Amino acid sequence: MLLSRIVYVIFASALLAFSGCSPSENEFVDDFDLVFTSYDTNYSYSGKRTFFLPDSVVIIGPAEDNAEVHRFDAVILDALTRNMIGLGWEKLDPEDGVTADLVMLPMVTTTDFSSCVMPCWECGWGYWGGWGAWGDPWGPGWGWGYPPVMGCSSFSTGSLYVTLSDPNNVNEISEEIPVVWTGILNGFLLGSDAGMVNRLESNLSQMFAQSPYLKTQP
Amino acid sequence: MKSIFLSAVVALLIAASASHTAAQWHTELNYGSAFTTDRFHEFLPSAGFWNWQYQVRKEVNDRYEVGGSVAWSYFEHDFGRITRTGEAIAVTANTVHYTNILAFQFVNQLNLTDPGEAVPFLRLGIGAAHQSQQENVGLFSLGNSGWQFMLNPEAGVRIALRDDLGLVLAGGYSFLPESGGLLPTSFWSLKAGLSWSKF
Repeated sequence: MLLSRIVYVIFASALLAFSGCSPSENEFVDDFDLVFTSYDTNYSYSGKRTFFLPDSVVIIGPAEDNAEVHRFDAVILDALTRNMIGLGWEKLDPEDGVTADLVMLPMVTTTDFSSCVMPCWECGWGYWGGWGAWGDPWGPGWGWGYPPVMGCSSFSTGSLYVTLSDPNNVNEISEEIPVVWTGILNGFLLGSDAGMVNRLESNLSQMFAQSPYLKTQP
Repeated sequence: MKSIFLSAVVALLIAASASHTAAQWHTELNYGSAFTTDRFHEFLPSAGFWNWQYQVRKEVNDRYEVGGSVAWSYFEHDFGRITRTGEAIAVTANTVHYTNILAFQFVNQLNLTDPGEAVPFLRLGIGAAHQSQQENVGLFSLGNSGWQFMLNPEAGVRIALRDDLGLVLAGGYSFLPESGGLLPTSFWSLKAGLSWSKF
């Protein structure tokens, strides 16, 4: 009888205490870095060899007038240039009066979170079409959100968006320049400048490593 | 929603505790390891080492018992930093999958011999489970939760330690079909526990 009651108490207490397990938290800031790429499957890179790249990174949102956020521009632009050249592309300067096949645009957004928040990830990201690895994509019930351990804290996150557009293939009707490739780097804006530089360089290299179709055709 | 489940669990435990009076009852608490299979194994390749089950059965005769059970299983797999590709997309990030399964089942147990030192049995659990399948990718977390039908056949043996206490060793298979976006879930389990009886 006593044993039974002890077991009831232990089991009920365990359920109440844990109410669902979750993984342990990541240890380092770069453990949260994410690199996403997508491309237009109907676009042909055949014959495309040159690109433009602006001399600064566009900042989107409230931080756009903050000069501090531009301190990594050179790192980002150098890494983008180095990786594109590594894939066989030639960088052109629009001031030379030439036309490039593609235009690369890097943009940064930052978001600050504090106290208990419920971020609206769909607002900035959009619904993910689904993974192929497990057969069926996640159904519409799958939604984005922060892991529960991040619900109540104070932190800044940032996303670096890199797009490749074809300025010679403008849709005259919709007046849109088609974006043929998108790369996104997302993570915490935390750590030393040296650490940020390392993370930017390694993740931008990964962005191109997982986009082998960008390699120029001979 | 979680508080509703917990309330139900606590209510069930209290009810079970209070009703141990009229006939012979068998109560069991077991712990087990679980090994995922099929599509659930693709989602969670690691074995699960957090599997608890509590059950109460009423003896209908020497060979047949009926009752109910509550079980809680947790599975987790850390894929590390991986690159996954889909149609026209690729994502590189630290990826962790995990799920919690809280199951409520009716239990039927057929004892293959009369009461004795070692009583082999076959057991079938039928019920419903609430599962929350989650995936952490970098800073993001996505997931789905809901109810699934659950079927859990088992075979095992109860070894008497004394008149009213026994050691239970069992193996079984659990299956939860795809439901509401949840992946079909299946796993083998090996469990050990204590069973005590009240007359």
